[in-house]
Amino acid sequence: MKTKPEKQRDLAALEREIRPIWQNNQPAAGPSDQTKDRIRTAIRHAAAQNRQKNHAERASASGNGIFFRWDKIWYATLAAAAAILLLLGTMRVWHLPGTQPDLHAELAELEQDISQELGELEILIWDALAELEHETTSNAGLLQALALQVILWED
Amino acid sequence: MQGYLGNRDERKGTTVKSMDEYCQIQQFREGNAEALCALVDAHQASLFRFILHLTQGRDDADEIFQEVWIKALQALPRYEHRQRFASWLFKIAHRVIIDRSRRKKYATSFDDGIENLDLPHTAEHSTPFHRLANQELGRTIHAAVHQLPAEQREVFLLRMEADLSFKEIAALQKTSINTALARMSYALEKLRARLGQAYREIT
Repeated sequence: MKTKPEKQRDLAALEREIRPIWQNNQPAAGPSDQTKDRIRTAIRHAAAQNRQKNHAERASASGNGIFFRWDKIWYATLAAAAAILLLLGTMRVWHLPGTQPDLHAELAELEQDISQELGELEILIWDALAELEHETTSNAGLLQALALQVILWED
Repeated sequence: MQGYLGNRDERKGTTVKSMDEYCQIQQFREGNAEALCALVDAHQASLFRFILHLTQGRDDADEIFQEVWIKALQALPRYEHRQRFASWLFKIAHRVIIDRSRRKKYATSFDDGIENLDLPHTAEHSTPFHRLANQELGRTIHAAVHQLPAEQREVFLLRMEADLSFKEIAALQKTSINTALARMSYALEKLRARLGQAYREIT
């Protein structure tokens, strides 16, 4: 009883014997010229269709180029807007506690500024009041002098 | 032995040929008719002989040959490089022959046509005796092939004409590799037995 590899080796050997006999004794048979012509015509027709199809596809692709570009710009803009919104949202969620000290600092600074401004304003008011008082005093002295003169005049 | 059974891509030149054929198909897809015409020329003889040996005479073979190429043209957009072109083409031929035999209700037979096969002369350097003996041997082997059962005949022809692997033949016949091997083995044994005296004289 032969093993499977032995059988395959025998088959390969037998095939090697028969193959040259077969190949050296092939009939001079082939399709008729009419059949060959028909096949060639069908091939040329199909190739022409392929050319047209490829041409149409290329034309379509180039014609739609602007649309595709605008489309891309539009989508890019949308994507950028979405990204910004997402970033802002993320900042709001993640950084709000962190931003509070900054706000406090700003508020403190503002408060200090306001205090300073108020201090300056107070000084100005006091100056103005002092000046007014001085003027008032001066005017009172003047009135007093006038009154004295009037008295003297009457005398 | 693996190469003998199925992995034919290991054979030198097979992959290169396959790549060339795929390039030709790509050129055709781009609109180059001549690329496919070259492919038709390359497979014309073997495909026609395969059909001729499985049908009834030259006229029938001529019609089937045309139908096979028309179907191949229609199916070419779906052709993928994974399959060898010869394997793909002979599979189409196999289906066309089966469909036609069902329509015409004839079993694939070689009763017609074989008598009229115009066998070529062998190498010019051979003697007249050898040429005559070879011609006789040619007629004998073709007659012997005609007498094989259809499945065995098809396996033999797919090996000899299309150089398909047993794996490809098994897929085409929708059977196992072992069955394909057994069919080939039976076919070759019968042929050797029928060639008999003529084979011994020539060898």
